[in-house]
Amino acid sequence: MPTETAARTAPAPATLSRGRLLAWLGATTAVLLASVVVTVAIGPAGLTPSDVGQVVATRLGLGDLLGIAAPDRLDDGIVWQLRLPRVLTAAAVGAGLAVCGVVMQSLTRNPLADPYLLGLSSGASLGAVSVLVLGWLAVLPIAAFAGAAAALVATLALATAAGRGAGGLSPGRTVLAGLAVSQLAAAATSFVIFWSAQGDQYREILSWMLGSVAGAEWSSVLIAGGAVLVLGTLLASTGSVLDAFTFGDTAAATLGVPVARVRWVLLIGVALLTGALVSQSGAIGFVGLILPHAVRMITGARHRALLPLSMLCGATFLIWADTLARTVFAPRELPVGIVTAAIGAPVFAVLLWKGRARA
Amino acid sequence: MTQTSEHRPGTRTPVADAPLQGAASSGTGLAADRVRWSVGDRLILDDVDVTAPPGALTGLLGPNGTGKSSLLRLIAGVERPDGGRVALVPRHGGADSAGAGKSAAADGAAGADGPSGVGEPEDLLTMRRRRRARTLAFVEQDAASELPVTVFDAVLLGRTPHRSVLAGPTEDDHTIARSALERAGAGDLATREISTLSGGERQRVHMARALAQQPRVLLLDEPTNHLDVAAQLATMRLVGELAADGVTVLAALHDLSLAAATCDHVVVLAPEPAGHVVAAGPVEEVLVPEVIDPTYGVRTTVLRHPRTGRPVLTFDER
Repeated sequence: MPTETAARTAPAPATLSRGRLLAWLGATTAVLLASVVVTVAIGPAGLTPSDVGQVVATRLGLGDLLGIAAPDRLDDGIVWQLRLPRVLTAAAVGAGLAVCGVVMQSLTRNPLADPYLLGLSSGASLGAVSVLVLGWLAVLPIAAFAGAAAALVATLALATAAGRGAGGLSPGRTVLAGLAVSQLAAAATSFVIFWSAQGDQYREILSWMLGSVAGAEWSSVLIAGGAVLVLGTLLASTGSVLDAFTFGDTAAATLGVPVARVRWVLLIGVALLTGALVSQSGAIGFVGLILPHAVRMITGARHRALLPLSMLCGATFLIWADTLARTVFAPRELPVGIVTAAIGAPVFAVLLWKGRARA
Repeated sequence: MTQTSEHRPGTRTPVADAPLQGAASSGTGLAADRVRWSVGDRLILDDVDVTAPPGALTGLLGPNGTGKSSLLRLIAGVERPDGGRVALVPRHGGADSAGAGKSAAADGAAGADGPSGVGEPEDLLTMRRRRRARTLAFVEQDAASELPVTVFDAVLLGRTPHRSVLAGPTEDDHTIARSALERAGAGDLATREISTLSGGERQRVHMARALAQQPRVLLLDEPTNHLDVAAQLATMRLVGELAADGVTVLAALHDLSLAAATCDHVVVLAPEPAGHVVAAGPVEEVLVPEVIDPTYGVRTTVLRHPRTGRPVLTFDER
């Protein structure tokens, strides 16, 4: 069989080389850090990035070392108490949703899967709304989290039961089961709102269901950021395993991957992380769906590059989406979920359009 | 291409496939004994015995619904049988090959193969997954991906069981993947996206992925399904070459004439009441009207190929 000499000697075709991957990681990290500083400065107070640097350096105890004058107290309050926690929470949520999106798309072999696909956001909403109407704000994160986990268990149980003797847990069945659980949880949520919500609770519930990081405090940074650092990093390290699923479960099994165990562990990881994020920001849609696709255009389908780059780009994306949310109609604020949907829905449509050739 | 494709060529295309050869030349046969499998209350496979001799192409034949694919999935360790045993049987080790020695040592389980002669059978079903994946490769029917994957990345996946779960592909992995691609006659496709390939090209890529695993045993589920005649012949020629190199190949095949033209041995399964073996052995003995007619419900005439001398089967309705 004749072969081309050029192809034989070409260096690892289409594989992002280690050097180029590091360059991309470096560049996206730099953009993320710059975005944090710039977006914290953006807003009605007329701060500059150097004011932001001044506050942060002083707060970190580097002021004397770097010879920086003490910042204005008002600036300090705006940067450190209001905007920085908000921006960092947005970054953590964006990174977490993006990595969950990659994992879900890979495990379900459905390129249109997102972290909320398996009823996670509906479950979380049900949990959150239930405690909102009861007025137990303190346990809202836990309730949202429990709701997400319960929805995931229900979805997988339903998909497994439906697939018994018919090929097992298939992507299609899992998605349909998720849809069923989603609808049920949404109906239950509507019922709870209809039955018992009163006065201002409507607004609170709506803002939560649309997704917002407006109320973020340092505790939100701690929960969302901590979850992303621990679970997100773990999920991001599974690139080789996710790659093995490229041609489905059977192919993964014959490559030596314990398919069932890996699927459960990763899905539970996604549920835990999504639950933690949703508990802080509400359900922000489209980040986990769109970001992995955008990054795939750079990296191809290989997960070892896709996972970390998606995290970094997801963080940057949500920071800017949230900045838009609080500035376009200033002084009025939009829930950031509306902005991500406004950007994400058209992109989603384009993906469908492009995907039609493949399908 | 069509000139040489009916018979197994003794000469191989001299491509740079040195890394693939080591693991392939150990002469490990495959033996499945009394394999039983049911889904729910339905018995799919009823005490099926299949032997695939080392370094030969064994065809797994039978009408639809006889459990050919199920049997391959059980042997590959994708599903667990309800009963029975699947073992690797080292037949003639000779100078114990570097490949087999290396993979055994890497698992800390050296000594499973004797240095020569007939070694101890190795149970495939209880073997650790990753070790099994370095021993046996399985090319399913119609493996597809919804994600945009390049050919080279797809072939690199075959290296997964050879490295740590967290590590990325090494330079060696790249070299082996490249030679696997060359070996499968798809070296020029490396940078293409899989979804843009023709059926025959895609089949070659999946074969290359299996070769990158450096298996001693290769399982193929309907490797010529949906391929045009030229691609069918090219695929079977590659399979024949691999067998000649010492890989033990067990292939589920639909097309009896293709099996007659290419296989060394065949095993025929029949469906009722559950998949069971009706005949097994050399092509000349098994692919005869006495076996085929009752199994497939047809009237078979066996002709002789004027050039290769191999049987050619034609069928009439009964």
